[in-house]
Amino acid sequence: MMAGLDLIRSGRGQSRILEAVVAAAIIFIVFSVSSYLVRASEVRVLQERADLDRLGYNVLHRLVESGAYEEIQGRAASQQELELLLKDALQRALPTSVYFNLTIYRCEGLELTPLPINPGNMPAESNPKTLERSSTSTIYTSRDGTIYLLILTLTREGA
Amino acid sequence: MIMNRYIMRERGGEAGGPPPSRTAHGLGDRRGQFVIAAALLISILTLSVALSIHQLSLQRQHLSYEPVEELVLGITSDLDRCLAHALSRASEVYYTSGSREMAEREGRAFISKWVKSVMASYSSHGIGLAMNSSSGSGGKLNVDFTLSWGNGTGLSQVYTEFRLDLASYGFRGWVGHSGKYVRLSTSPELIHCSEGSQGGEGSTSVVFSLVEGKDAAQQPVTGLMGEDITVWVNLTRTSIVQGNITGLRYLGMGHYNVTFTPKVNNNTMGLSLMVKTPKDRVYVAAYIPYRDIYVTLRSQLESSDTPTDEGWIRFGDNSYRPSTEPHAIDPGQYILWYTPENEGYRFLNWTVTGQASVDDPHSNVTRVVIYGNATIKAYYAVYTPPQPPPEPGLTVNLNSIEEDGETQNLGLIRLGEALFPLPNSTSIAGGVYTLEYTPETGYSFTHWTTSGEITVEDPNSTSTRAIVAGNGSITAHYRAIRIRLRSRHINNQLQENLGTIALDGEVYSLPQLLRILSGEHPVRYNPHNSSYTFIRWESDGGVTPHNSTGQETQITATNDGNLTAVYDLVPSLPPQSDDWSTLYVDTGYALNPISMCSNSSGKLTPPFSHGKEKQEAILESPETPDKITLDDNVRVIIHLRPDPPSSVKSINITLSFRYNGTTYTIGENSTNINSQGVYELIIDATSGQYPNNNQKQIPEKSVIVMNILINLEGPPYGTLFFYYGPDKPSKVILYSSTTPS
Repeated sequence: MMAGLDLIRSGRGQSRILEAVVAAAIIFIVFSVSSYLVRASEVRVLQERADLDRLGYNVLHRLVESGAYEEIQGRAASQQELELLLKDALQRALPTSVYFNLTIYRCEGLELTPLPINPGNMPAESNPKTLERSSTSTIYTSRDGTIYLLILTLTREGA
Repeated sequence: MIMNRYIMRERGGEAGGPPPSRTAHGLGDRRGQFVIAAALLISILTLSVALSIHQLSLQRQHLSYEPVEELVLGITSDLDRCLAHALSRASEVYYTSGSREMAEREGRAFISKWVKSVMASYSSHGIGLAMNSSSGSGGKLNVDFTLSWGNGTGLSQVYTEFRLDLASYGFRGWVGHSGKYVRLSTSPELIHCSEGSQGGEGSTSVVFSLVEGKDAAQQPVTGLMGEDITVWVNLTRTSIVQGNITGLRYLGMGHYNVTFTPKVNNNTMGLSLMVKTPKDRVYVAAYIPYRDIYVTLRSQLESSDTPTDEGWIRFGDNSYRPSTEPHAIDPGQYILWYTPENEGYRFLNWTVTGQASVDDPHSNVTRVVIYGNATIKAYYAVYTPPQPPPEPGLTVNLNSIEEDGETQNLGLIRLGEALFPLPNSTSIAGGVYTLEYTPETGYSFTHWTTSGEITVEDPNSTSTRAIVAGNGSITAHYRAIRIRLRSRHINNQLQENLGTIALDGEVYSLPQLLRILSGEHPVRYNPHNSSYTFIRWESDGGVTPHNSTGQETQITATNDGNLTAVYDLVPSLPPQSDDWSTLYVDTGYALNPISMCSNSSGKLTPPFSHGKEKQEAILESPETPDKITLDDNVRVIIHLRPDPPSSVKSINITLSFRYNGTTYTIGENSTNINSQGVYELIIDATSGQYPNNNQKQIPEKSVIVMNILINLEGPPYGTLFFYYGPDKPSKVILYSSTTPS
């Protein structure tokens, strides 16, 4: 009789242990997920892209609002020279650790025609992750009435 | 499940024993479930807190980046440039064409292109762009253009209010406004004219200000070059030349001083200034209007205290009556010429007040130079010409004579104030006298002849002036009227002057040239014999018969002329024919077939006239014996007498037929009067009305009706008739006799 009661008691003790183990496992898993969320492992990548977006808009804004783009256009005697001058201007405006590529479209109403120039210094082999590449654009009406769409693509070196 | 299995196993173990205490045992079973439920609750809370911390962290670090501000800034900034260029285009078109509508169309076309470009460039952002003009009408392209290049201040402006949406970022309802204006200001006070050195043409300096802006704030336009400015100068009101810019100086705060040639007149001004901004190439213009110079021309009698304004003043190419009215002129040199009102005055001198100068003030013809407003006055005085001494006791003989000497000294001559029966002689002093001849009743004046030392100013005028310088005579010549009487056959020119004409009761063989007095005379033609009959009177010159078809009538003679009686043989039978191709006009106003012809002329007489200014006759045929098929063109040939019918204006013919009580119109035509007396009218039968739509078919037992309407100019209407004779019958040709009907 006593042996039977002991057996019953020991069974109950095992169930208590099992319940404690299950509860501990749940709490462990939840804490692990919370820790992961709080740590935010992708913050660096998001930060990088947001910074590049801001930098891109900043550079484009300065390029057109300061009259630099208009002046470069007026100074360039050919498309090649225009490409070189724009590349030079962008290199001066951007940190050396940032690759860039400027694509220019000529807007004729709903029709966009790319200009045959591509000022940029992006290495051909670079293939960064999508999240680490920034693309910003602005529209610009020149004094002779030509409307351009400027798209600046930026990538940080070593991304 | 594990717990349930464990509970079940626990219950199965107690199946054979007594039941445990229910309360203690129940609590012990549920204690493990509470632990797990508490763990789950803790887990949920922990996860929520962790997620919130994660979001807050991202937001704090600006990692959830949306470039709305940059996009809006970029688009609105480019809208400014777009509007500036649109204004540039619009103002250039306005400058070249002068059309505000074309200018605004050009500006809006560019804005339309820009809007499309923005839509295409930012299509992935779900962009929405709408513009509203200040007047409130909405739409993507509604902008206000102001191109007001008025006097003094010129304004070129574009303005719009816009709404911008970026749907992809949930950014909606951005409302802003944008615009651009350029203002050019100047004024007459800012014009400075410089005389040229050593007779050079001189130059003009104008100070103007040029500002531009977007809103209320304005900023000066700098960097203006000489080629950006165009100047036009009014030399006169209508003569405008482009100025040659010789200097441009920037004075600061958007003020410039431009110097150019030629020199602008200080009084008239007249200057237009157009400027193109160097940066945006926006055109704007302002002008200082040309001011008229006024000259008042007056004249004054020397003895008067106030202007009398008599005579005429020629100023340049125009002559003016002196008055207080000023005349607008251009500055310059003009011929000045005063002509007194009549010979009783003479010019004395000119006086000038204001900005003008006269070369020779004492010459009635001189040159005047006008610089500005001025009043020019001509002074004159009474002039008494020296009179030639009278020479009394000159003898003048007065008489008159008819041209062929038939009569003499009929009528009266007035010399000076005295009226003399003829012949006569008077003693007067030498001088100029009025001379007038009044002929005897029935005679007319022809000319004057003089002898001695007397001359007549106009020998062919019944009232003139005689210059008597010594003894002599004046003779007035007069004459009676000559009328030639004759007769002729109406057709045969060889059978002339048969019969006699009685004039004033006296019978004359023909031809006869008679002297008669002016006035009315009875006349009658007597045919040669019974084979001839009188037709009508013909006349020309100053002879007019009262009734041209009356054998006995009155004539009115006012001058020489001819009166001819026209006669004819008694008419013979008309041409015979058995068909209905031709209908002849006959007495009783009927269109008869040959079998019913009565051999006399049909007349349009007063009882059948309708209305005061027209005569109308209705001519009807007997019933047609058979069906008639008309030609396409039915010909109506009318010989109207007398010829010419002086009071007739036009003839109108309407041809119809009556069948079974219904009238069908075949057609109508009209013609003006001519000098031949023959009228052929073509009536288009194809467009007529016919029974049963049988084209051109006149059924059997129809009555053909011709309605003739003659429009008259006025009385005397006389008597008109359709001449009917064997050689010239009036007729209606219904169809060609060679064509089967």
